Order: sequence, then structure tokens, then C-alpha cells
Amino acid sequence: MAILNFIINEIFGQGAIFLALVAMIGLILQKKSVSEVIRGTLMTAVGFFVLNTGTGLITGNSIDGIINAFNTLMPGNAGANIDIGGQYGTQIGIVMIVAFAINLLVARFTPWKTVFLTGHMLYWFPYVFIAAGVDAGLTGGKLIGLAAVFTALYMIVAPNLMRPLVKDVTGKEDFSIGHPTTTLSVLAGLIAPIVGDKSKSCEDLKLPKSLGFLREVSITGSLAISLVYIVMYFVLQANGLSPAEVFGYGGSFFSYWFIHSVYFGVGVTVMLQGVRMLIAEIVPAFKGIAEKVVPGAIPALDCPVLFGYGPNSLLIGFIVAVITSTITILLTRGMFPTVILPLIFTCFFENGCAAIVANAKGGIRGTIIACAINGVVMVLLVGFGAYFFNNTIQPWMLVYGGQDFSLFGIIEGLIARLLH
Amino acid sequence: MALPKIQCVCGFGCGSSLMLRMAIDDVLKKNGLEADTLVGDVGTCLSNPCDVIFISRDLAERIADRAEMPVVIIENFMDNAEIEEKVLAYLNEFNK
Repeated sequence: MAILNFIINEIFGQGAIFLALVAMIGLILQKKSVSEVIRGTLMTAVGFFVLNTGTGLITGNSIDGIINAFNTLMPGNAGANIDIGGQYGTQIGIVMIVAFAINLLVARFTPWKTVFLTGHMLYWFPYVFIAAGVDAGLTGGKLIGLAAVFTALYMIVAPNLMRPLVKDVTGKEDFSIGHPTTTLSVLAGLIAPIVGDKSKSCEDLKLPKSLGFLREVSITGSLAISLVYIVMYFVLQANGLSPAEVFGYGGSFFSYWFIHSVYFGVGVTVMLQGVRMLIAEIVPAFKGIAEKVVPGAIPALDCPVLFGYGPNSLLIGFIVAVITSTITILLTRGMFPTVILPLIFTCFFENGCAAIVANAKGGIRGTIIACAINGVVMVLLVGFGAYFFNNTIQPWMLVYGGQDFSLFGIIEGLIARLLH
Repeated sequence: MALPKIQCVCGFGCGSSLMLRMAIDDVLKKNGLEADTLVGDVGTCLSNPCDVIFISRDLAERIADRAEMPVVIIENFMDNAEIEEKVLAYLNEFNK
């Protein structure tokens, strides 16, 4: 029994070991050499810790001061913030495998032929759905079961919703999108044709090249965080509080502000490196299995595969959504039990994909109006999401939420609270 | 002889670049060739040691001026014929 307990608690209880084992099986199935198997297996384990270090840097060394300031101004909202990535790695791994297997079965035996292959999203959806369950108080089999059902449903439904939209953009049907843009893209696909005219395309405009630096999202993100810190500094002072005490710095505000702003970019860079290492061996294995099991599968891919079809739409949509989401953040301040940060990533990636869809269906006017509405929607989703993630991953949601993560996480949270 | 090191780059280095890397691995296998393949993101790819960067057209503009290694532009990450042609052309050049 002691040995069995050791295997269950120490080996499968360590997310890094569990995911490394998954990668190892994948590498062996791909008939890689012994040295490749050893290298890939260890890289996956290292990637697991790099990933969690990166998320920790963003939530602990960059945006923590803003969250502290908000909780001081509006007490009673601070949650326990359980480390989902670190403590529930194995559950995330199990959900990933079970949901992918269900996706393959559905693709094999029904007309829904999409197979979800966006690497980092194979990790983040189980992460969000496990967090939503933990936040609602679920444990054990119930937690894994509900998260697996939601991940599987998402992996099947979202790419099939995206298929007609991808066809409108590319004119082809050989791939779909598997990415949390679905809510915003479907919304854009519904709004744009009503309000716009697709013969007047964003792509016919000449945009100045100097706007290109905005596409460097970890830089744009750092700039946004630095602005929020300055706003918070004055808000604290106006409320008679000491920024030094609330933010907790001994020296000058300048170095605190500079380091916390730059650490946003640091955290994003580290996190991306970790995700890359974690999925580098698992995704090729999943792809190999899918090709064997599902003839005629339609891969559901990362949203940037569409970006080449509408670089102008992307940039216009990004700027519009940043403006309307920031205005919404200011207008709704104090309404939700959470601070809300400018959603740079969501405005660029998820909304960018939606902008390209909007342009294909409603031209310039369609793109601007749809993205303006998307900017409002994403802030409301992060705000309402606080009720379902404040004890777990709300700080992560402040940076990466406001789309399918928030919407489907909220739905799971509601169901989980009924089951609990 | 050292294997050529091919870096596939997209915005995050997680999604589309990984698809490209897998497509390149398929091309190498099909033609009985060998190369090291890795993925990177557009922000940090120039600091990763490699012999060549494969990248999409919109991102290529952002590294073209600073890259010391050859940069190969892939118009369509989903077009296996284009990927095969460009990988083989590069490897011919590399092995000269």
C-alpha cells in the first residue's frame, strides 16, 4: 500500500512528473531516439516550473501592487488565491487527455470533424475549468469530471462555430480556429454585416508604419500597467492613503513603479517560454494520434493563422477595443468586486481575430462598431467573472480573460455551485 | 557536420509556429533529411541561436532589419507545398 500511495501522491500528485510522463509516452509513440525521449521528457518537466514561475512573476511582482491598492480602497474582496497551476497540475493533465480523447471520438464518428490542436490552449482551458470548479468548492472526481466535460464540449463546439467565419475570411474550409476568441468573433460576425458594408475593406486603407510597435504586446502591456500604477498612486493619495504603505516600498516610488511595470514583460516572456517547453512534445504526439484515428480531420488552430488575412483590420480593431474597454473600465469602477486592468492581450489576439472576421463581413464600419462593442463586452466578462474566480485565478484573468475563458468559466462556475 | 538549426517564429511561439515546426519535421522525414527545429516568438527570436528563421510575412517586417541570419518568409502556414519548397531550397543552399 505504501508503494501505491507513493505512486498516487508523489508521482501523479506532481503535475510536472505527470505531464513529463505524457510527453514521454508521446515521444515513444513517435519512435524518437532514446536521447530525444530523455531530452523531451525533462524539458517538459522544466517547462512546467518555468510556466508557473512566469505566471507568479506577473501576479506577484507586477500587478500585485494594483490589486493591493484596489483591495485597500474596497476592502472585503480579496480572495485566497489558490495556486491552480502549481497545486492542480495533475488534474489539469488528466482533463487535457480525457477531453482530447472525447474530441477524437466525436471527430471520428460524427460530421463534426474538427480536432483541437492549439498547443497552449490545450493547457489553458483545463486550467480555467479546473479553477472554476475549485472556486465553487468541488474536489476529487467531481472536479475532474466537470472540468473534463466542459473542456471537451468547448474543444468540439468552439471550432465548429468558427468554421463558417473562417470560410468567410479565407474562402477555404481546410482548417478552423481553436482559440478563446470564439465569443468575440461570433459576436463580430453577427454585428458587422448588419451595421457595415463589406465592399469597403480596412485592407484598402494605407496605415502609417509607425503604429507597428503597438503589436509588441509585452511592451504595450508593460506601458499599460505603468499607466495604471500612476493612476492608482494619485487615487490612493486622493483617498488620504499612503502609496508607500499600500504598495509596500521602502525607497522611492520611481524604482518600485519602474520594476513592477517592466516585470510584466518579464513575466510574459518567462511564461511563454514555459508554455512552449511544456507543449513542445505533447502537441506533436496529439497531432500524430489524431492523424491515425480521424481520417479527414479538420485541425482547429491558433488565431494568428488568420492574422495574415487582415493586418489593417487587426490594428484598427486593437486600437478601437483598447479605447472602448478602457472607457468601460473607468465607467464601471467600483461596480464589480475586482479591479480591472486594460485588456491588452485580449484586445490584440482575441479581438484581433474578431476584427478580421468583422472586416470580411462588414468592412471598415463593421470592424469599428463590432470591436467597440467587443471592448465593452470583455470588461463586463472580467467583472462578472470575479464572482467565480476571486478565490482562484482572478489575477490571471485580469491579464488574459474577457473572452471564452471568462464566459465558459462563469457558466461552469454556475453549474458547479448547483452540483456542490 | 553540424545539423542546420531552423527556428519557426510566430507572435507567441506557442501556436502557429509549432504547427509550422511540425510541418517542417514532416517535410524533413519525407525527404530523408535531418535538421534541428525549434520554435520562438517574434519578440525574442533574434536572441535564440539558429541558422535560419522561418516566419510569416507580417511578422518578418519586424525582424528583417535586425536579423543576422537568413529569414525565410512563409506566405501561408497551412500550405504544405510552399513549406516543402522553401525548406528544400534552404537546405540545398545550406549544404553547398
